[in-house]
Amino acid sequence: MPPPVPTFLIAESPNRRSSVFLSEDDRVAAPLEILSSRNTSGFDGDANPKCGRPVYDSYISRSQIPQRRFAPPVVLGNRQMAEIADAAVIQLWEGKVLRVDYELAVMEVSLEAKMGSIPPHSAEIELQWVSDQDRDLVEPGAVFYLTLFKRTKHGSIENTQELRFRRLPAWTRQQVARVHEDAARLMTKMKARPQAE
Amino acid sequence: MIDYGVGPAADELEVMVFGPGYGEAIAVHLGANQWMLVDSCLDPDTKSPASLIYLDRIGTSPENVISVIASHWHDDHVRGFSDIVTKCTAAELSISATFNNKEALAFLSAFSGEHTPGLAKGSRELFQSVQSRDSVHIVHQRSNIIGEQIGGRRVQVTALSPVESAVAHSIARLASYLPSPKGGSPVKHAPELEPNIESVVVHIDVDGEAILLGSDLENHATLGWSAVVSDRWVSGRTPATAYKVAHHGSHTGDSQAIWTTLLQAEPVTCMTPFINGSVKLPSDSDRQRIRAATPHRFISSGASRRPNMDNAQLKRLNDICRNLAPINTGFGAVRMRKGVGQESWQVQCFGNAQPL
Repeated sequence: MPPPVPTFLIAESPNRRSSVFLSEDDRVAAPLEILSSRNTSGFDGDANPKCGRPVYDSYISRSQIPQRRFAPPVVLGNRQMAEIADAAVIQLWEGKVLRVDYELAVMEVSLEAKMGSIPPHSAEIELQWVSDQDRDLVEPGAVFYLTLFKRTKHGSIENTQELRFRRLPAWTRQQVARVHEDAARLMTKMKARPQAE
Repeated sequence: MIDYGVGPAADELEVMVFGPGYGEAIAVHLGANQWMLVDSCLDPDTKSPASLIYLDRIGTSPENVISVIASHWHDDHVRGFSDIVTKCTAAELSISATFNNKEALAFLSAFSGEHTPGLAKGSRELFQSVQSRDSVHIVHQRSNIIGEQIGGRRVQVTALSPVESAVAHSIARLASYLPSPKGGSPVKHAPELEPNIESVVVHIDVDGEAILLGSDLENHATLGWSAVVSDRWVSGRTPATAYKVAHHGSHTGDSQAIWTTLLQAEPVTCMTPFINGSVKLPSDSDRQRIRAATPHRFISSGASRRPNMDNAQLKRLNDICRNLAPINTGFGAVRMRKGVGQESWQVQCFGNAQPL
């Protein structure tokens, strides 16, 4: 079974946030086109000390999007397309919940960068960043996607982030049956070691 | 790239402990170019199993590995393990007796990503390892893993754990996470069960020279270290002069009985750190405790925990995250070698490894 299609939000519409759907193994075309049309004027981040240009330029070069290609985006309306044209995904992080502290309303997470070569990190994220619809998914082992992007809104650059949890489907009878078939097959391979004297 | 120099002489015992900060692997030279590998972590440069990279760099073929052991299924101990199992074709595969049970194997399958989208990596590695072999040896306390003459010396490798009650307890816990046969329950991730009582602790005895590999076994009166050490057969093993400290130096993996019963005075010890979220092992108090126990202690990795990314990325992430720290704080390896007739172990640190 192919992996689920994670959803990365890169633009908003009045009623519902429009999404670009990115498959696990096919992730380049859409964001590259989006990024190539971004407006970098008014960039408010740090400048790259080597070239004086905004640092985030370097994040979105084709060479730094490793071995993943983006699926074509879903077809969006004209207005939505106009909004997306001004949005630039700066980094995609795949996160995993390690522990949840409900008293402090904080989750400990591991983060794996999906663009560039940043090594895995751990961090704490306050639960206030999790949308209400995803709250029930917050538990150790749960996978989420943290998207950092910039976009031009009313002529100025805006930093935005989106945190969405992956919602897995329910087990089917067939899947559970296959699990037990596997177990029966693997069990035949097991051999006991002799006891040491 | 780490230069490991030359491999051990035919009559030298060697224990290599690899660790990047989150992960652990061990390679043991039993003599005459015969090797045993326990657990697996990845070399950060090549993304291949650190043990296999090591063997390759010292000019040894995976064909010289006669035994591979998965001490337990947690992610930090089995990354790349299925690759080892595939390449070490002459080696026997041993795993914890916890998996000599259909429900425990169903757990492995359920959380392997085989039938549902990618779940826990550790269970996938172990599932694929078992899947790829015609036979798999299950081990528990008193299991004889290796018992043969190697290079003219008697080599006996035995398992000191898990104890029978821990196996039963672990199976019950794993079974509780199986999906209902009727389906319908949501797919969730496999939790890393605590305390760790299913781990395989390995004792190596080469003509009276003993090594103890403590795995991640934690202390528990009837299921963990206390139960292990109180067993008469275990307490009769040759006390070890070299010890891979259990559970990353954590106090939960320690027991005074280990030091007084299973180890000689002032053994050479090494460990790998475990850094994930707010958990950082060994803690400062763990370090003090181990320093008090022996003057010879080493750790495979101990570099900075400063975030390893440029300022722009860090600034953006800090809007939503706090306490950002790299999971892998720097790869390193500790090598302990002892030749015939030598009184003490020679220790070398590679990469970010250092004295504790």
